[in-house]
Amino acid sequence: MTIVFLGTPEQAETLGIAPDLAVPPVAFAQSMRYVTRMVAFGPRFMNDRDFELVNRVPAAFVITSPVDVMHLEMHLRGGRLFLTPWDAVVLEPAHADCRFGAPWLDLFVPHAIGLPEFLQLPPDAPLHPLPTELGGLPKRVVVKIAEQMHRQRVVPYDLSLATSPACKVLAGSVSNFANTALAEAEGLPADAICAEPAAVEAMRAAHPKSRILFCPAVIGPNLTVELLHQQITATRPAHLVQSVLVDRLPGGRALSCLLYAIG
Amino acid sequence: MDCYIVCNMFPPLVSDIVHAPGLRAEQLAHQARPHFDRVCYVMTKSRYDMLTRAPTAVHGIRSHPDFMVVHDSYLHFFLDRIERSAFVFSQVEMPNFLEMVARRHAVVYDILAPKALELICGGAKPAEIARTEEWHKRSLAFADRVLVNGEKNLELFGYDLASRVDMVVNNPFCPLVPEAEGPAPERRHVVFFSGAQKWTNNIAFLGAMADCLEARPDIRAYFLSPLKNHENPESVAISRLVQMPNLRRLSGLSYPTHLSLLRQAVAVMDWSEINEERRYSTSTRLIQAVAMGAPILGNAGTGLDKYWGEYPGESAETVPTAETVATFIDRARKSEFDDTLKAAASWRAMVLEDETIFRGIA
Repeated sequence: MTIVFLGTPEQAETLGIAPDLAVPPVAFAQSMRYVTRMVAFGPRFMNDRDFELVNRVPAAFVITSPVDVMHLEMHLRGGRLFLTPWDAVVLEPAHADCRFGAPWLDLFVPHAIGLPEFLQLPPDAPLHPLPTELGGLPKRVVVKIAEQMHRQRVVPYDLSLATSPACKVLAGSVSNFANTALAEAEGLPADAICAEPAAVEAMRAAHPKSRILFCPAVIGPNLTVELLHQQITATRPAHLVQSVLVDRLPGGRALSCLLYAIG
Repeated sequence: MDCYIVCNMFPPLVSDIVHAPGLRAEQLAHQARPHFDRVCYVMTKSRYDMLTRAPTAVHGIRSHPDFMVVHDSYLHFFLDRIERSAFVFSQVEMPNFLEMVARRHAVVYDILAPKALELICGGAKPAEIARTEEWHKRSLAFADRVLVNGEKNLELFGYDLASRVDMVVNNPFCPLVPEAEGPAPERRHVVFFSGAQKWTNNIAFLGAMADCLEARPDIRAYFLSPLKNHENPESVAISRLVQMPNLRRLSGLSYPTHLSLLRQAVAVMDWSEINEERRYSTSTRLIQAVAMGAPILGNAGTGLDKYWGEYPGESAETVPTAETVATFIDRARKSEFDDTLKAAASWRAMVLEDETIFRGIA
């Protein structure tokens, strides 16, 4: 297990972790393939080179200033950074009030474990809930949902998004959290819902006025696009706007994300 | 007799992206319903195509039996085939359509905003301004009834309307708001905005808000502003604001979500420097906020001076300072504006139920 730490050894000590890798920039790119975790102490110091790594291995971001949050949002909005259920945000107590301006931060805070335990997790184990069908996929595959979906301009305003429990964090991959209001956390009506196939019906019943549905799913011989479409439109009308093929998976399966206009 | 509200923007009935003309169309439809057998919205195909050409995956336009789109080439067939009806135009951009309508049908010309002043303040070419004024005169010449948004606009258009006083009716802009579902939410934060148009300048106000939020971390604010590039004069103030931990910036929200946010607001603020257009403007943002029960801090000297009877909040002639903003929010938190808000709600209901608007047209 190799952890890259962006920051000084003294900063690492404050977190109670021991980074294994302290390399000069030239060796950094060569060592990337062996890296299993990354910790960025102050995301404002990250540069474009770091994102290649951050977007592929589980990463933790230690917020040391409100400016860090601004930088995270800026990189999310710019499509350089994608946050997934494998990633963590560590908020220093002095900056806990940043949660109001960026309520999505809370979703990434690992409440159950501390940073040292997070760093000891197996590399492919997600830190936050994931739909069952996406279980076993590594971050470098699931991050492709965000790479595909963040290119889409779904509506010309910031969506208010409600999610199923399993898609709480994954929702950031279908709708960029930097441009999204969280319906539940902010007490707003949901324009859109994000739910895995099994939770679509319940979510639509809970948010009858939502107009858009994101459904990340693994399509394969057992669940074809046609069957999934029938399931989604069985009881309430919905119109399939886009079926985005994210990546091919073994066994004739494909990771995809369906976008529906409801009503 | 039927009534057709000619739209140049989508009404909330069919879209979640709603602008002032769409809200005005909805208000006019609401006011017309008691007088006509049927009230519909009509939009030309060219306008519909223009509004839906944005490169987004979902346009969110819903079908509704009361909303129809007519191809521009077939407008004359449409107008000839329907029974004599009333057509309400809320914009000056369609004088040819209006003249076609006037041959067989009744025409109501609604002046929502001083379009020529908007063009002048927006730096439009003189030819464009002259064309708009000519359209306005043509629309007036064919109108059977003229509706004007508020007393200030009546003063502005006094000269044009002098010869047609008998057919002019004051109809202030009062968007409908949907009934709230469930219990009223707790009012927790304030809401404010960046400049709405290219001729509005909110820079000084945004600076005051930054000072206020810095000095008062207990105040939490939603700031609705699109991303502005560095060449925009407001971008300096906005870049300071977005660093505040007690500020949540969103670029824009759908219509139902926007209303829901206003319903949770303890106060709503929108202040921009006065110019020739602002003197007659009626801020949709502030009118909606009052309708959702939030006190407002706005400009003195705009078209809103003569709305509501008593101003439901505070109005400032000069740039508000951080202290005046904080004091206003504290007063709003103590519910000091509740009486004026109640009076504003009664005034709103009176305008929406005003039968003189369409009386005699049907």
